[in-house]
Amino acid sequence: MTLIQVQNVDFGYSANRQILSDINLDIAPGDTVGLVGESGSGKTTLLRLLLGLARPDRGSITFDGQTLDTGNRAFMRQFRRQAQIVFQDPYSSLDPRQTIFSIIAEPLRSLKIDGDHRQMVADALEAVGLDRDAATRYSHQFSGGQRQRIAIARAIVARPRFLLADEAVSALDLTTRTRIVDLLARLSAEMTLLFVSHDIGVVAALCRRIVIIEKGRIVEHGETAEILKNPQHPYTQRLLASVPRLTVNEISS
Amino acid sequence: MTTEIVAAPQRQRRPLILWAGLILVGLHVFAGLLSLVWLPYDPTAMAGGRLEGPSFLHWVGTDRLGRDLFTQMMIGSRIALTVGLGAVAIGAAIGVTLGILAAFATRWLDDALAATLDILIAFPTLLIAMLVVAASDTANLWSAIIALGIALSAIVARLTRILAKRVLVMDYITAARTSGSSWPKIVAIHILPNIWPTLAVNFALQFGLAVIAEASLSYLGLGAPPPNASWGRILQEAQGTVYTAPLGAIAPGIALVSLAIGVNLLADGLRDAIDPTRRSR
Amino acid sequence: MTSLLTLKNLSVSTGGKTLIHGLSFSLEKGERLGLIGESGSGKSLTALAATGLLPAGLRASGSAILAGTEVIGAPERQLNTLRGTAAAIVFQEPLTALDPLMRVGKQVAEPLARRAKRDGQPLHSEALDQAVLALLTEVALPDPPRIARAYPHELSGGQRQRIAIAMALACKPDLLIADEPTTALDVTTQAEILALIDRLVRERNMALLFISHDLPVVANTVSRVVVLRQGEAVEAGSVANVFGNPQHDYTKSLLAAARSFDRALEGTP
Repeated sequence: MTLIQVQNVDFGYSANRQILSDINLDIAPGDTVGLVGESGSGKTTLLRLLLGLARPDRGSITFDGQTLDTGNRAFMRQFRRQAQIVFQDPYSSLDPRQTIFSIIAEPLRSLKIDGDHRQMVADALEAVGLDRDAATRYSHQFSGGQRQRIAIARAIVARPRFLLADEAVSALDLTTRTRIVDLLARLSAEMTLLFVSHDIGVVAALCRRIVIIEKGRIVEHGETAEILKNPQHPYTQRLLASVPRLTVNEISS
Repeated sequence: MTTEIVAAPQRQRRPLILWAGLILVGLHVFAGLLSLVWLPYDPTAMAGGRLEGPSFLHWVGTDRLGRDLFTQMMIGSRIALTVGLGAVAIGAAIGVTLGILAAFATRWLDDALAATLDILIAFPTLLIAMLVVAASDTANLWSAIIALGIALSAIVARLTRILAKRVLVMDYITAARTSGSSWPKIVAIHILPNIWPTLAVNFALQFGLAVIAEASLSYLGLGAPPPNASWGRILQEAQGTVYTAPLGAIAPGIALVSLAIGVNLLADGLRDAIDPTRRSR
Repeated sequence: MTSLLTLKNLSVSTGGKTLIHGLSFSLEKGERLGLIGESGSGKSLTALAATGLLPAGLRASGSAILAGTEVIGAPERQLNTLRGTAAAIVFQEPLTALDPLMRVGKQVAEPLARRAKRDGQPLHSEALDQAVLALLTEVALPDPPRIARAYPHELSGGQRQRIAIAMALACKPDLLIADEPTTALDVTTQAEILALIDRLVRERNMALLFISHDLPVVANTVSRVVVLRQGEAVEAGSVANVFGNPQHDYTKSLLAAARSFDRALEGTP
């Protein structure tokens, strides 16, 4: 069974600029998958395709067995409710002119979800470890980590099944980063998570499976533990060797 | 962080700017509204001797026909406010709409619109206004207002397009799209509120421009005829006697400048008062 | 006066707010010191204060002696000479550190010519071009003649950072200050740039002040660290001591966070 299925997807902004080539990817419901790639690897483009913000040139993407067709309004409405995203930059992802309540409640309003929005926003705030009083304030009154929590609250307020995170902890301080990773790990128990990052250390801490993407192609994928222990592709090996570690130094000193 | 801290001392000055703007604009609004219901003298009738200097009866003296100048100045305030608001409203309505459309447009349409706007902006506002007024056979106030509004709309459109494009690339726009918000909704909720502060300051500038442009049109004889004369017309009438009765020329000049400055201060102050990111924590 | 850089009770403040509180440390010739801190810790401000580059509105007090010269309160002309010769800075974002409208060869040539003139041996066209190419070779850029003719946007992030490093080297500084030099780069590129900095510092016998929030990067680059938190040094010492046996709770929390990702990579969560 798969929640997301990507089959033979190609994408390019023009004929001579191929961004993604022959992407195949299956994500099972409830799984936690890390998509690891560096700048220019095409990981953000793949994410845009998965969100239905762009269409693949070739191949297909299905969500819960249905083709992700950006022209199909009824399907897209259903899909928007079930797939949400958290971005990298906690400063550009929150509208500075809206209260936190309006920001978090936006999916509820746009998707015309019934119920007590005030309560749902309060629940979402609580789920991300923020005080419900935060709702009346503005984003500039919060730190980077708190803003990222707010962005996560917006993503989960409509109770999606599929959460995408695009470098969601890369812009954060180390200590804040571990807390947000913990929060995402907790949330991933209730939903399918695709965590896109260049930082394989964070991905290793959070994800059960890893997909490595280089220059628009998936070069390796598999169980996290397996890939860390026994990387097959030269690029994966180089990536792992490049990560600076504390332990190396401690052993030598 | 640094810029925020460095900017901090300015914050205390802000209320002062707002108040100065409120007072200047308030005086003109008060004078203009009052002129609708009460005037010190009949603007068309002789109220005293010709070219009298300032006195208790005639605060800024009389013109060469003996009409009270202060009365004319009050009417001038009303006309200036009408011109400014009218022209900016027309310019904003056309300009913001065009600008937003251009921001969303596909590449070639956007390029075409941008080029058109650039050409329009290259013509002086006053020249466009003169052409439009000259084309309509009667020189009345509204043809001037519409002409100025159209001329201003090109500037507004170009600014709106740039500002909207800058907001469009923000992640919260993508977040809104993945939340199922429609484009019109995104424009109303995210784009307009975020470009408004810069636009508002620009509107204030253009308000001043429009008032001055109308005064220039009037001065050239293309504006509203007496008795509903604008400051430009008063200035023109006083031109011949500027050495014997300089106040007739100085007074409308001061009125013009004070309104233009007042509106700009007001817009500056209001922008900061409205902006949640500039409010202290 | 043997130390290359000595900070004594350095404070930086603005308005009524103190951003750095009484910071003291010294850096000897050829030594490598790491400044560790998260955002708002004042680590970058420290580097700016030590080189007299604080933005307007920020005031420094205390003492910062760079190559025997007191920086705090020194006139701008004196600081200019000092910055060109005693210390050079490499910033986090190479794209904003380079002039987008100037070929990178020319940008590297500028500090080279300035330094040569100051040394009393001015370089001219041919010799200057040769010196630029030699520097580009030294920072391991491929095909230096081609790169020298390129504009910054035509280069990758890693290549731009190499150019920024070449510009710093052109000053022949005794102290290289690197402010988060790899934070904007990919992991594989980061490893290359770190290796480059390591080699250059060793070969040229420069002192290194390495500023970063990334503990593993710092641990692998320097020998001594100062841990900053909200403008205060909470702990200082050798890497082995501070990382192996942290005393302050804040250092401990940083280490715990870094270790959690480390352990994840070892497959032992």
